[in-house]
Amino acid sequence: MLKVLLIDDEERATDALRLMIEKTVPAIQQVMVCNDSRRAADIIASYQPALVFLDIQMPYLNGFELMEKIPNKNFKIIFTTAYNEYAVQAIRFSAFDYLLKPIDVEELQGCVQRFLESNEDYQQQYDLLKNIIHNIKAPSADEFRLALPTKEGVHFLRPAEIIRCESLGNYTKFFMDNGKTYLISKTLGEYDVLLAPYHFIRTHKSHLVNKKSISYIDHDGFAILKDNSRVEVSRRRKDEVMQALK
Amino acid sequence: MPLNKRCIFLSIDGINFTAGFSKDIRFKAGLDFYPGPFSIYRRIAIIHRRVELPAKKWASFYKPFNLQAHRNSAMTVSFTFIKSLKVSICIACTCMLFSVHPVTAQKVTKDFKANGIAVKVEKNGEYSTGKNQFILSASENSIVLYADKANPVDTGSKYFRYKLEAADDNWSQVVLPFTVKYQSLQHGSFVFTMQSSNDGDHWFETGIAIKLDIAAPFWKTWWLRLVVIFVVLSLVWYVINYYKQKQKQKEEELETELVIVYFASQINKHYHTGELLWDVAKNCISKLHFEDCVIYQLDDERNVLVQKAAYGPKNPVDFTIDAPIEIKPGEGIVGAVAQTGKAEIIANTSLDKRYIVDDRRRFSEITVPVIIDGKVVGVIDSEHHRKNFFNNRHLKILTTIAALCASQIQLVKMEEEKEKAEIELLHNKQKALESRLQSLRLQMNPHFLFNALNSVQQMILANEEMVATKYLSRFSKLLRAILVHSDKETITLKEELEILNLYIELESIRFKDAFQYRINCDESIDVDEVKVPTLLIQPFVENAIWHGLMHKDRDRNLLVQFIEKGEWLHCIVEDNGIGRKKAQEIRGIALNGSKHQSKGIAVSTERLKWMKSSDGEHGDIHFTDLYNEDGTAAGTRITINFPILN
Repeated sequence: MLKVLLIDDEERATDALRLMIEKTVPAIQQVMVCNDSRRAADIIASYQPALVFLDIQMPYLNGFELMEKIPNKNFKIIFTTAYNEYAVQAIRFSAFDYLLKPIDVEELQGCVQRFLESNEDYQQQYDLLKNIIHNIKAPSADEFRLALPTKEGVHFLRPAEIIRCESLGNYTKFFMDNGKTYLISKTLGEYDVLLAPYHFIRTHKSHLVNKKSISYIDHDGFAILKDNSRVEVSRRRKDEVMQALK
Repeated sequence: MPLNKRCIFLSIDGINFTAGFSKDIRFKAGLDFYPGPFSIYRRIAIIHRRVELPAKKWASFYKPFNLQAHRNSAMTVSFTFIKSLKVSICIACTCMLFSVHPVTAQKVTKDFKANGIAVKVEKNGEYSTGKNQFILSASENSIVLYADKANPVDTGSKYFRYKLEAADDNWSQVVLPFTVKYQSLQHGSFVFTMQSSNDGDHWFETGIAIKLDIAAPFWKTWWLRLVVIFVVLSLVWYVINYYKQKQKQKEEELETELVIVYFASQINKHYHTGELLWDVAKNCISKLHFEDCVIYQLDDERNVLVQKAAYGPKNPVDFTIDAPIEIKPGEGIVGAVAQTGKAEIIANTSLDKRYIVDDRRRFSEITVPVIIDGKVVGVIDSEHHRKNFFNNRHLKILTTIAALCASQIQLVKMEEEKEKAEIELLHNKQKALESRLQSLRLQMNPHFLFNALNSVQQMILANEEMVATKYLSRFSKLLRAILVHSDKETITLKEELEILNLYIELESIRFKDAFQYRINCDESIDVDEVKVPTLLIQPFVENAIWHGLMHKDRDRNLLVQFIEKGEWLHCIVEDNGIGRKKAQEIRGIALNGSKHQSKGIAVSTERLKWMKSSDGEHGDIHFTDLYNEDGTAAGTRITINFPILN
């Protein structure tokens, strides 16, 4: 039996999500609501939910503070928020699931589906959560760490350490400045969006390059990077790349 | 020849001796030498005796008297005049005529005789005989010549004629004795000659040839000519020089004027002090032929002279000074001039202790202060390797340039200040505009918007059609009001009140009437007329709800009040929440949402600063922490004060 807990200070918010779950997510059999963050920890302890929809912005304790208080997080967390660009960025950097209010039914269903299909690796979730809190507490977005979940575990790195990313079908290969590479099961497009504010530029449909690592553009129009790798630059992106180098 | 009272007459004609003198001049005569018979001496002695006779009686004594003397003997008769003029007459011939006939006391007659004729030459000053040549001074150019038979019995010739060569063209025939007078003879050599004839047809030389050399008058002498030429030449030289000097002076003045005019025209072009100083330094070299030119400007804050422009071997490149020299006032010549404010020319720097050797010693220096309002603001300095290079003209020009610079700097300064003020004004306007826009963006707090939409979703899901409908219409009104007013800087108080009302109502509905609220406005306030900055109050209300009331469990109240006082409007936002202190404690992990709210407050605060009343006071905000009687926190009161805008 799939037990779900909804934590949000706003009664109407929990109400909306509860009604939506009841109407559209048959996989969830039991829904519990908590509108007071101060009582959430006790409810989790007694109710033992498998899945927690957690609002970020709440009086008394916000979502992150609440999670820091709970020792054994043997449940899956999905953050919900109306609008908080900074928090959302921090969450996305940690490859954590979140839902934006008002909630889209299909997104909700997708989240639940992913939860049902995943093997319950709470250690990884713990690491990711820690990374979110690190990012939230960071004095600026430059200090954000990007979580790269691989089969061996999650790697956390600063965008500045990345030289380039290469698309390999549904996978993305990361090339680091220390020579290491990581293969991540996410598309390059997802990282393009995430890394755009960190001086990354899509030189080609299969290349995302850190501008600061470009040494020069050779005669054939290829970008030569710090690690001496040669990256294709599409004709359409060339001006943009040249502009970025100035 | 008229007899003068003061004349001496003395005549020895062969053996006859004739003498006479005027009454005032007494003389004694003595025969110094005579080889002849005693009788002559006697006769002389007689004369000597007679000399002592009263002059009157001697006056009639002009008659040659005979004195027997030995022929072919010579004798000298010496007369000593009272005026110590000693006259010696040497009678060297056998047949002698001896005569002294001065026109004045100083005048002495000279004579020459030959061939039985005796010629007397009257001349100033000197007396000599036995000569056929006379050197006469220029003033002695009037000559009287007497000729007579040396011995009346001796001369057989009947006719005589004479000629003064170089003066007379023709011979003049005369009968002895005769007198001829030449007056105002030219200078030069003349020879008086006489010829004799027995028949008037055949003439013979008498042997009389008296050469008269009349010296050129002093104005015709070579030395005087030299002197005159020298004087004339010097005068000419002086005049030429004087005019040249004047011309040069004029040219220099003109040049000075041109240089100054050039500088003035250049200086006026510059509206940037730095460029101005560079240009002046450059022109000092090109127009005044200086070797270098350095301009220092006083840094008021640090009280040091900083090198601002430099041309010359020390700094050959335009507009760049690698390491600007800094000089404290009082240091070196530049520093000293900066302190005294008096321009200086140092003719020889090796004699000036203040001189600081830079890369090498340059021997002369000119230093002129730039003065504005009696205060030295800079120094123009130039050095030259030659001693005494700088002159007063340089000083004059540089002083003028310094004055021009000063006025231009002042002008530039004023312009800059004006510009700065304009920029500041613009900047203020810009800033006010920016903070207003930022505020408007912040009013549309996305968090609020999406939460509101989320509430609508819930109402739909919960089948609360009426609530949803009401909520949506209110929400639309608020959105519309915000959109309509977002491009206005101010709105009427009525409009602001409506927005506040909508906002608070929506939040209240969202939380299912979790808090009570009241909006009061003084009845005296004309809400249609009074203008307030668009959406100035909303961030404070949002803050009161989120940080004051939401952390409280029940009995949550919000009061918004508008009070008018004079030209000021006071808006009070009061909540009975947990108070600022506790709200601060609760904030653990700062979230961007709360940052947004505090940012909204910061922007509103900034906007208030730009709102100034007629007396220049700007709007402000006061936070008051409220406490219960038992000292526990009882909420927060925020008072927003701003001048009423009409």
